[in-house]
Amino acid sequence: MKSADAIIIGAGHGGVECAVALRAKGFAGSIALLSDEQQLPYERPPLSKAMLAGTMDVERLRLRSEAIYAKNGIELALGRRIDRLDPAAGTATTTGGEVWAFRHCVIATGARARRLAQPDGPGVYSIRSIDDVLAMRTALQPGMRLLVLGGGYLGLEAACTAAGLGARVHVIEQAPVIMSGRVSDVTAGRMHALHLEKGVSISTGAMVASWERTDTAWRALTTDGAVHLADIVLVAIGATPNIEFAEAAGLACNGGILVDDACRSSAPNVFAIGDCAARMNPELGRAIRIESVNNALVQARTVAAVLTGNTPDARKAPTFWSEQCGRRLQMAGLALPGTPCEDVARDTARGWLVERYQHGVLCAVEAVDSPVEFMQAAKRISIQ
Amino acid sequence: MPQAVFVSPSGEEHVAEVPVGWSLMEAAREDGIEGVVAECGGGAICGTCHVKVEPKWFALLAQPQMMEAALLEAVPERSETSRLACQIMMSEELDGVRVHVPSEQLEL
Repeated sequence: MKSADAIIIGAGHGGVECAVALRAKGFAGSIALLSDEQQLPYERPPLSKAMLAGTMDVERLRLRSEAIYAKNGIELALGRRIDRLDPAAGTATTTGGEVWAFRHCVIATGARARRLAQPDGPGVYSIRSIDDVLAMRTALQPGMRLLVLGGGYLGLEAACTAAGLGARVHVIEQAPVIMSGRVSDVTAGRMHALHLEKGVSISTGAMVASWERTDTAWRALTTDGAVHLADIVLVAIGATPNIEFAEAAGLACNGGILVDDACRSSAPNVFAIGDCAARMNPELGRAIRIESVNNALVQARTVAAVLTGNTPDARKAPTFWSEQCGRRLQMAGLALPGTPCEDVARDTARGWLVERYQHGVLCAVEAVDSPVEFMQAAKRISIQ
Repeated sequence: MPQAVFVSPSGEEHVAEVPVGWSLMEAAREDGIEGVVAECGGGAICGTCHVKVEPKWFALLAQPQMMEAALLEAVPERSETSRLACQIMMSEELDGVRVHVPSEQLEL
């Protein structure tokens, strides 16, 4: 049996930050960081951008060099997928049957791409890992037809990147606007226009009604009556948290592993952070998962503080960013779904800024190519 | 391989090996240099990899682009030779570059 005082399951941004922050804050026990991948831990945001464009090496994605884990006394255990957890016994077991005993367990397993029953098979990709993006990049040749399902951040980032590589790209989004529920109509509309300029065509308010596989291509019939032929399909319709083993272990879950302000789950010796964790958001009045690097880092540092007897930093508005069509989009805060927003937009030197108010309170800010205006406005977001 | 020296707020020096073409931020992140947060991964949008470049080396750097210049106006402990480490790309010419890490980075 293997053992560590703290085991961290999952080595994305959150897992790695938690391991390093534990040590930096003076955690004296042993730390093991388990990854189900074979690569050294790496950052994922560039996967749908520079990695897909072919302008970034795998080595440059690494979050830390191999030597740093050893130097910090962090046992990096690659190729381990945990599929059983027993909080009462303090053990986690890999698919290969290796048992890890722990005092504290931090679940940082992230989320995987949601997939559909159809399309499935040749030429269908999603982007969550280095292997995913390398496979898609190899397949994607100039002149090919790429159909992107989902007009969210990931789908749109990949769409304009692929267009830049010479692919003929079409995006299908079921909502009436792109990045629906994430950004204001102002920003959605302006970004939509920028995508069109880059040669990306977009159908909004449409879904695929039926799929057909021809000899070499996919044929999608959409609810708006259009037919799209595609050599490659990218499924970018959101993510599913990797929480099955946590649910099976009896941890309270509701669309994510439910955690308190300290990121502690319903089992006192188990924490959850990042994309797989659902924490109460006082502004929205319910527990939500937040998929962003910033959230993963903040929650990782929270757990590191709690386990070393320190006070976690005060909660701040979550932040997000995206890069599309060569523009940098930053967002902070969350708007309550289903509640009207009063959006106040203004142009800046290089882009624009939108302040979003609900019931007269500034709840979210978004900015394009305006990092300083973004920072200033984001500081004024109301946090309960 | 070219080297960069990161000097911590307390004066400790850390020598990092930086492949040509990598940014100093990427090197700092790999080596886990405290104080270089680099939240946005190198997009010059978060302003959390601010460093103060020693003047001799600062003179060798290309002028910052508009986004970086704007962020540098907002960073704490700003100096005449402030730059974002994600925008400093290692070259043979920069072998030995020395930068000072501030005691705090930009925060919301």
